[in-house]
Amino acid sequence: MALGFAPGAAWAALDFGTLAPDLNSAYGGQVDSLYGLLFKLVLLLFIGTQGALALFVLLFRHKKGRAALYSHGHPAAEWIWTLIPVVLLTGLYFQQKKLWDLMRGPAPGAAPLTVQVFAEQFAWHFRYAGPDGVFGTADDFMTVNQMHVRAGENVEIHESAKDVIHSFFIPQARLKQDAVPGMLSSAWFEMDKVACWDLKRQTLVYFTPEELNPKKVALEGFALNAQKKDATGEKSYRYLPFGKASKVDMLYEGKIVRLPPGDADYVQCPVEIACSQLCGIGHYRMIGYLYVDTPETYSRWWKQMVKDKRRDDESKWTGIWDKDYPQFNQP
Amino acid sequence: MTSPNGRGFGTRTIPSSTSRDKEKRLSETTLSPSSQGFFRRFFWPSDHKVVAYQYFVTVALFMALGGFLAMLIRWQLAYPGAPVPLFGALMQNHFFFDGAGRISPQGYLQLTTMHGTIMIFLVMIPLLTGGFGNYLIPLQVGARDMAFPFLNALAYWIYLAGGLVLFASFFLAQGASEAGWTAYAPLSEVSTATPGSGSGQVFWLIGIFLAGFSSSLSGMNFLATIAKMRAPGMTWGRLPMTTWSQLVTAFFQVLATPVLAAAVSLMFMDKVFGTSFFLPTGLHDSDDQLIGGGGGGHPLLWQHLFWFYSHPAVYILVLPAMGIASDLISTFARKPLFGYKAMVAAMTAIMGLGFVVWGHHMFVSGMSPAMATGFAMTTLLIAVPSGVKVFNWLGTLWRANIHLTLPMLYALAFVSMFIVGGLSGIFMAATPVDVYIHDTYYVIAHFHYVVFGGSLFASFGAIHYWFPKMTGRMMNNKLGLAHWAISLLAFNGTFFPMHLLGEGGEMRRLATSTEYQYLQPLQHWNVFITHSAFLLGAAQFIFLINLIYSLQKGEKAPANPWGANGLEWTIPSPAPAHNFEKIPRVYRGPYEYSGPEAAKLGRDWIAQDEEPPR
Repeated sequence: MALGFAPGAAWAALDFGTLAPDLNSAYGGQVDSLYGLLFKLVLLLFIGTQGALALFVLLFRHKKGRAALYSHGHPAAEWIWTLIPVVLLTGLYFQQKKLWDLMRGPAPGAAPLTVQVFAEQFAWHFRYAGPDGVFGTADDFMTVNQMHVRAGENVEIHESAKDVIHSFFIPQARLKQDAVPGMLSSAWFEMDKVACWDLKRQTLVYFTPEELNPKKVALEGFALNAQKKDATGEKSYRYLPFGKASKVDMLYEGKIVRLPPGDADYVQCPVEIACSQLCGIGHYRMIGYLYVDTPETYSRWWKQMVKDKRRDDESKWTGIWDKDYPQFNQP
Repeated sequence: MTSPNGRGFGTRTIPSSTSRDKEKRLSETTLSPSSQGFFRRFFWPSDHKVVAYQYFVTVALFMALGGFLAMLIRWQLAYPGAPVPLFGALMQNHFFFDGAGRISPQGYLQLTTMHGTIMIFLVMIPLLTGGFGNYLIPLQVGARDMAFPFLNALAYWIYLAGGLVLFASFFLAQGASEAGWTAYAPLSEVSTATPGSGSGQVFWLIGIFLAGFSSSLSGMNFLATIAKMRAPGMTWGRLPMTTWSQLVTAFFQVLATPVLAAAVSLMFMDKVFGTSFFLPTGLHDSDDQLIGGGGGGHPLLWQHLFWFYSHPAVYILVLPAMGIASDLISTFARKPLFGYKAMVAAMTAIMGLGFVVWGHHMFVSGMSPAMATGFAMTTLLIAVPSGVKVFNWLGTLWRANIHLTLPMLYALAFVSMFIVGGLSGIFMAATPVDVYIHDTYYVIAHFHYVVFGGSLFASFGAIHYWFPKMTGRMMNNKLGLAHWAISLLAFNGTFFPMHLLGEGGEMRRLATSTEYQYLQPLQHWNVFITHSAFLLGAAQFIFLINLIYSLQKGEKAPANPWGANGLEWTIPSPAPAHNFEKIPRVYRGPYEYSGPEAAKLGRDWIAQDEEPPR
């Protein structure tokens, strides 16, 4: 019967402690190893306490002739199991504080790329400072639900919200920061791997720009196709050829080249930006897309934006952000 | 003779002249229950036990409602967009359902919001304090009633009014509140932000205010009763742990709940009178129109005020359960509670620290990172007293004589599940890790392990334990065992995999997680969780059947079926209207099992009011 007390123990044997893939080499690995450290500690405590519970119930279960020990406690033991956790948890505090200061302090190294994020029901607006590097000028460009960053570069987001609280969450970057109306929040992250879709195996994979060198990565000419598998709503995804172009832009050996779509091994694809704060009816589909670029694909995109003078939903920026919160544009 | 209590408490065994006076005074207090008519007895009762029954029955109804909402939530998460069997067809275009009997995204948010609100404010807090607190405190301290019977009856009716207001909000044209049980501004305040933030949210605010008001009144009553109504000889060191936990909880109810009252009042003013305590300057609606009201407020102010109450509320939800578990474990281990003083100190430490950890709900809110480090420290440290409690329960079991009765099984399940819930809390105290798991199913798993696996299992234990005292009958053992086993299994099947969802990064409050590509591999867990949840829901019918069956046909209970020491077991079952014929005199602590005094009587227990045997 005592076995009934620890059904959790059976679960612990499962693949427990696996977070979403980590692509943030600036501090993601440290977050994961802190998680791993906590996990080991907690697993030890879990086995120790649940094991003792089950064992004591087995060992000291009533039987004829057994008498309980008449004892009101053991002060020495109690001091020990009070002070050891104090020391342990204080140690943990300093361990986690070091990492917290890194994560939430200023980004180290060279000046990071700053991207402004303005959240509304139910979209993410992004603004880049454009060639002059200053926000609130005519050469800024804006996108909706599409963000690009360069692999290996520190990115600082400056975010606020128009209507309600949203939360900017990139699981693979171990980044989450609320966007609150009326105030500017900032956080930084870095991604070192490019998300690609393996066309042969129809699955998501991650590569560093160097690893991508020998591979042919299509930058256009393919579209994502999602299909519901069953009533549970689970979907399977495929990238399928899209459009009739005989040649498409492709990244190959560190250059952008024109090749037939059929040559592609991979398609560059985004990772999702989730909203993790309840923001209304459309909360469940407030999804943004983050492309991690190589230097080549990033400059291809940047040039396109500048050339097109892309200013999607410009009025959100000029009519609200710049007008009501000019202080948010201060460097 | 050395003190039978051993460790310093309770050396003051001789009643002083003042307590002898008190005893005389208390004995002379007479109330005549027979003169009360039906209405007076059941609608404005002066008997704390009847007030407790009122809470129990009301809580059971709200729990059934809250549980039903949870089943709908689970259906939607496993089979998003599929019509809900039976209920969907019955309630098309009403409540949470669209014309095809499916749960709409708006309906889903109402379900989660109201499930949380009902389970916290209308079920767990009133069950643990209004129900068990009311029933047990006077019995355990040796009093004939609460200090303020009028206030007690009033508190119940205010609670019921609050519950009915919340219930009524389901019938509003735009539905109940859907801004989450945490009601973060501005979503909860701006009626154009989401339909439920219209009148639904106003009803929510009124309901919460009333429920909180009731909780404060109960708390004051409990404090006065425990402080002033203890029987002669019932020193602080001889109080059963259940009563100690109610005392500590009452401090939370009296000190923290007014802050909630202030917060909901401010939000009510924002919504009804156009102030803007929580609305910043430059807030816009979905049509990019500036929202009036002047601005100048701050959304994070709501979060600070809300969590200043609602984190302590988590301890209101678990401390009484800890007290109950301590009583049950010591009784059925037939062994004194290990470290009585440490147990009291731990609860007091939890109360002290409990007031300064609220910021851990706000690590990613935009609050200063420097403040977050302070809250991380206090949050990590609050694990120490919680750990002390677990170790002391284990210490109580060490070299005990364990009788695996039903109440004991529930109490042991409480300890086991509370350990899981406590340990997962450590991940959230570490700020860098919390950033990732904040607002994911990890958090849902964590607090359901504490509140459901912990507090509710302890409550089931308490019901099985004190049922004989309440009704004069025993609960059925076979049915109880089936309920315990299936519930424990299904509970773990429901909530353990939520840790895995959280680790995979699945956010809470998504009407469906299947819009996200990265969450697809986790969807099969959602199906598994839903099936477990249905089993968990079904298992509660076994409990219901047991209650009804045992009430009618249960074996007749003696005064003290468990061989327990507390004062409540010295009076007949069911407890008479005014509890004690004569106010008892207390000679020892409540946990003197298997001691030398008991041995002299040839048993392993000795009631608190038995004269020391020679």
